Amino acid sequence: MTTVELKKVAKRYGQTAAIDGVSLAIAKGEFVTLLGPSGCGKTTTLRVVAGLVESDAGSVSLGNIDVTNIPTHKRNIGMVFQSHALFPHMTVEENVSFGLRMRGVAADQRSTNINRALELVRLPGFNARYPHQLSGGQQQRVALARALVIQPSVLLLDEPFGALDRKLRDTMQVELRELTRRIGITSIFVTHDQEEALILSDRIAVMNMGCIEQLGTPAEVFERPQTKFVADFMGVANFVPASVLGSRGPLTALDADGIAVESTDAIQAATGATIEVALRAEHITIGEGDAGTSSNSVAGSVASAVYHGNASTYEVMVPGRSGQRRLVVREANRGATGVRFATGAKVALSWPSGAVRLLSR
Amino acid sequence: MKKQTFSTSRRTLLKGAAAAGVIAGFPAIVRAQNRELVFSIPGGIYEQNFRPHVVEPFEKKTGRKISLQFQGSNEVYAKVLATKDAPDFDLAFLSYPLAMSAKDTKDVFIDLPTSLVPNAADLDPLFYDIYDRKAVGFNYAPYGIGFHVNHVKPAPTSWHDLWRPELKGKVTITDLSGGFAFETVVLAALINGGSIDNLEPGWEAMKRLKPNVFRWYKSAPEAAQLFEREEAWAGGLASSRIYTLKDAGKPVEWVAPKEGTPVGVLSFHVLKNSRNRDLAVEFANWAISKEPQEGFANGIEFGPCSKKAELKGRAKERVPAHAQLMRIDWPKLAPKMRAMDERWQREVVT
Amino acid sequence: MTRAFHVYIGFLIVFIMAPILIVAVVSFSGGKVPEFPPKSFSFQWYDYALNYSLFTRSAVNSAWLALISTVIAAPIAVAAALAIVRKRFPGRDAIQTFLLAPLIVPSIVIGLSILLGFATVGIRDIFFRLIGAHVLITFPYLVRTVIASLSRVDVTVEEAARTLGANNWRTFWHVTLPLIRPGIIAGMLFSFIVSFDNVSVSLFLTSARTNTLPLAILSYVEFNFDPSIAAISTMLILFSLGAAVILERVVGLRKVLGV
Repeated sequence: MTTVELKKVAKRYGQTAAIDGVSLAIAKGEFVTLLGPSGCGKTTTLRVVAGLVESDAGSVSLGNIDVTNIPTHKRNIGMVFQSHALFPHMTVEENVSFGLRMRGVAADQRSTNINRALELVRLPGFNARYPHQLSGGQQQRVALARALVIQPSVLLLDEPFGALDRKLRDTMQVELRELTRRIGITSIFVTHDQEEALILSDRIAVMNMGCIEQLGTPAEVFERPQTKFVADFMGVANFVPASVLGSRGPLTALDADGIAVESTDAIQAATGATIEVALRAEHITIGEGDAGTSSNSVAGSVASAVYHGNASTYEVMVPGRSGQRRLVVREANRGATGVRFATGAKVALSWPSGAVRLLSR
Repeated sequence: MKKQTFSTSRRTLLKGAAAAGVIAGFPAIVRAQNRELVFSIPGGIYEQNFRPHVVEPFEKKTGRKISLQFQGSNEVYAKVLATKDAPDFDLAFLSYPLAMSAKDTKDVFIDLPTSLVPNAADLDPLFYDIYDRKAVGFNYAPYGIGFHVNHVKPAPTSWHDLWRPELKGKVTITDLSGGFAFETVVLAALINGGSIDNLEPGWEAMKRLKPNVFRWYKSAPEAAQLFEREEAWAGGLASSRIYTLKDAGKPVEWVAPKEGTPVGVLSFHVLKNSRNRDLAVEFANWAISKEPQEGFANGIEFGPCSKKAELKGRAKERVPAHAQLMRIDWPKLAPKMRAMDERWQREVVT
Repeated sequence: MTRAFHVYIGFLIVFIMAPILIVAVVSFSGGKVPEFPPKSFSFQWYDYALNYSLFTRSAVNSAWLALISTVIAAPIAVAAALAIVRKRFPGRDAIQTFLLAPLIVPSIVIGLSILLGFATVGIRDIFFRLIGAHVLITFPYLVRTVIASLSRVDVTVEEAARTLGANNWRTFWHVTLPLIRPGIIAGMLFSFIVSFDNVSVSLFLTSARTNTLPLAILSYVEFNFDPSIAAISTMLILFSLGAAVILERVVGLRKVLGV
């Protein structure tokens, strides 16, 4: 059952399209994240759902009702902002109570709901505090309680943890995930942090230049990016243009700028077509000596070596047909002291065919 | 929701009631115009003498009320011009040189021939003919020399005494806004061989006076303060300022120089479109009659414009008689005023 | 903060305060003319000023005028500030400049223009004339303080209210208004003082029968030289000071002024 549906929603600001034909259907109880860099249109999309931005084209439905022309205050949504947006002149209780008062809920019913909501966000007994007496995390929990207490048909979260420090953010992510699953609320979450999106979401919509580039589960988006943009945003470090040589059994053979590559990905493209090969830095094995002649391996020299603690990152120069090519390699440190290879060292790189992603250009 | 609606409307009602109360309570809004006579005079001591000697006897005599207001000549004149078709005022009480401009303004004021105001026949021409008989002078304030008796010896007797070298940096003279600036140039010309047609000797004299001038005062209270603090030892100013200080125990004195004293005059002008025009004319005629002229002038120690009014006692000592006044030909002076204004700023006060 | 800076600030305060203190001291003079230092002490000039109808009637007029024009101007100013700060429309900057124009145009020009304008269209009612003019001159002060406090209100707070079910009016009433209330109160106080104090606009607009305190004072000094004006000034200074102190206590003047 679909709770939120966007159909070909578009919004322009002057000459620039903030969102350019976004369609998205979200099932009841689903947690969907709009992920992308700033300016990709993710926040505008969320604000169109909230009714805070009027779309130029397309339609928005909530719970099978077309709300495109219904103002924000009649949409029954709950929203959490990055700046928490608590009413500074009201206590925690008054903040949480606000939506209930606007709905004409009787006072005794209100206080029951408020206390339940505050327990839900683990702030029982904070009723009389003012927002400025709370920590950043507590403020965001109050904002969450305020949004949830009205039992909205959808919970909208606009980078709610953006202003929190790393550690608190991790805690809040886990809490939010647990909470939304438990009460089964439909949620749309906006972030530019791919890790946050992976942790929280049932599905992720990666957005770029006002469009959804890929929509899928966290594993799909992370493991099987369909475009170079998505792969890049999901942290893939190495991209090499390649021409398709043809199928070899279950594998696809390619010539990646002079390097023989085989991939388990099937490809629609015809033999001879130019595509892009994507390879995660952590999927490349680095070792001493020569590469040999088999596919999925290449020899090179270390251009830089950086120690991160639990991993080391190497930039390795490998000979390509069009000149020297730089590959980024990331190796987990398993008991090693510092980097294993110094700058200038001759190394051999190799990777499994299952790690090679083929992207259309 | 219902409750909310109710409280909102109740609040609106309360606000409405408050606003109505506010408007009703505003004493300025006197819409019902009863047929009072309205004009403006200076406040304070002027009012305190004007009311018993001029207003109250008239009210008793005619049974009509007078509503006295307290606004400056300039504002009254501006309002009268802007609302000439239906003026708030019945009379304008104006000072020099505004009165000169008023007499030449068409369709605002009526002429006041002796057939309308018989008592004007008793006015010195300086207070009647000078207005082309379109206004009647009420009182005059003489402009002479005030001085500190301990510092200025011998006592001044002539306008020339302000030029004495030992008064270097000790004299105060009016600036344009202090009143009497034009008169000062004229008198300086007259005592140095010039005339109203030849003011050049006057301008020369003003330049020679500059080393003596400690400050060009911008208002009469400022001049009084300079004397009070003994920053000025001598200066040209109206007599009342000095006598106020003298009566408060300050060692100051005022003289009418032998060459004559210019005067400041307040005159009544009757508005053509006044709704109480006949009453206004009657009042103007009354105000210049012997009884109120004498009472007011002796009380405040200003000069009466009527020749029939007699000064007595201290007022007689302090106020120069008509014969001692410097007769400045305002109709001749008026056209030159703008140029004099500029020249004053350029050559005198710089 | 260097020592020299402290000395400089000290001089500045003395420079600003000295004339006010002198006026206050002179007002208690027992003599007939303003003198400093006074030779004797008395309340006679307070007694005189508070019992002279020229001053008391015009002071009541001035207070009503200031109150009414402030109460009229305040909601208009809030509406204008809301439009300027919250809405995007063509000519917004021009309108903002236009609304603040009465600060730039000499107020004597405003007074004379209103007198001539109203006389031309035949409006002679003192209420429209004087209050209209005072609304005009107090308006910029109100708009400025309200804009200042509105700019500091986070827009997302208003958006949050709307997502929680509040329409525009209730968002304004429950959220925006309480947050800008200190600015409005401060603006109204400035507005009251600006109106109460005004000479140049009132000069031409008071009717024959209505006078304001500043004009009454002007009329009074034409032929009088006594400490009663000092007594009135002292009372006005005390009033303004009291208002400022209350404002600081209640809403925090510094916060409102953004200093």
